[in-house]
Amino acid sequence: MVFELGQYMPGNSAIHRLDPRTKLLSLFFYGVAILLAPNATAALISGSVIFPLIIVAGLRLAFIWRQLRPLLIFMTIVFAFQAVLTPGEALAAVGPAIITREGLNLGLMALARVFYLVLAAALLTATTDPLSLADGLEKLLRPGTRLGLPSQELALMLTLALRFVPTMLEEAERIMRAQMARGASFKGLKVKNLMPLIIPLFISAFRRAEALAEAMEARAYQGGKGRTRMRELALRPADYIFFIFTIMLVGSSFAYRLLVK
Amino acid sequence: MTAKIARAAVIAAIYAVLTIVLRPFSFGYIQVRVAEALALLPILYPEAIAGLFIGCLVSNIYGGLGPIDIFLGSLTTLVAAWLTYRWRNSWFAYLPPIILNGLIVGTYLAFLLNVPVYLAVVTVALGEAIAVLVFGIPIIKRLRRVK
Repeated sequence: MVFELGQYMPGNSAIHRLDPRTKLLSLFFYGVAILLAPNATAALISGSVIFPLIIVAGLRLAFIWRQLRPLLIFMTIVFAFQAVLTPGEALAAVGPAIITREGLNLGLMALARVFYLVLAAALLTATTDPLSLADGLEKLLRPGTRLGLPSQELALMLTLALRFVPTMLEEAERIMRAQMARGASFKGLKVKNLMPLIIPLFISAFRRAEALAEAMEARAYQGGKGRTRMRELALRPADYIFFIFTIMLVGSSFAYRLLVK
Repeated sequence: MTAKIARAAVIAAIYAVLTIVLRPFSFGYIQVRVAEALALLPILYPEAIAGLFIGCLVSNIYGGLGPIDIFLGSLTTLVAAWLTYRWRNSWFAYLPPIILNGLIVGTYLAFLLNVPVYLAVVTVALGEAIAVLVFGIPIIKRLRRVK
């Protein structure tokens, strides 16, 4: 079980240096732009703006392949499902199944959406280290503070959670080995199999939480109010330019949709 | 308060660990996200509401279907967790994660992947029901004993 949450690829490219807020919001609007595209061709074209960004960020093909591989089966099922089950002009027949032009279009569109969305999320996590991601989210949630949203506490939880994921994974492996030594089996998704893992995992996690709380108390943590930070986020001209391009992408996608319909 | 923050953080971490370890089953419309069994935790711990939200956010950022999962999926989990907490004393508490995820996540997945809405809603709700009822209830029962 090899796993790293650290999909982050340290670097100093233009994409790396963008403010995490810019990247988070752009990710959101990029998703909107792709969803607005009314057909497969439009989806494929509007999404393709991601490729130059991937090159600028210096991501390797192997890295991208690793992001897409787990989704391969899922994407195939979705595509096949569309191609065969959509009624319309018949193109070819595979046994009893008839592939239609409309189905091919819809299938390709679904495929393009999943492909680009996963790619965009991968680009974000590869070029933004988890800590600044948490900072960016906190800043974006800040307006919610007035409505009673504890944005600083949420950001702290996010940072702590990111820090704990690898520890918990290690712990989960240790528990699985310990239970296997006592005759447990972890093959298949069964309640009987998962309980001996999940319950000890919780107990050890809560114990860790207690120690962590004590450590925070000892360092006089008193909530987020009035805390200063080591790195202050600041938007630079590049951020504004990048964001304007994102908005233009959404705008053109929307305009094309109106024109086509 | 520090105790609550710390506990919410580890709950979020467990959620992310379970989602990512069981990754092939966790995304898309044919999904059984075992981590969603934790959706019942607000019954025992109010701080789990924030924990589940953050956990879902982390899992979706690091392995979901991108932006829509990150924003809408996590908010759905947040609302469901809050309702589960509100109704913690009755069996109603089991319903919000199943119904809300089925409806909201099912609808946007249907839109995203061009599949019929009813199909996506039913399959997501079914996967969620398995996670919550089959895995979630035994977890809550046992945790109640050690609490």
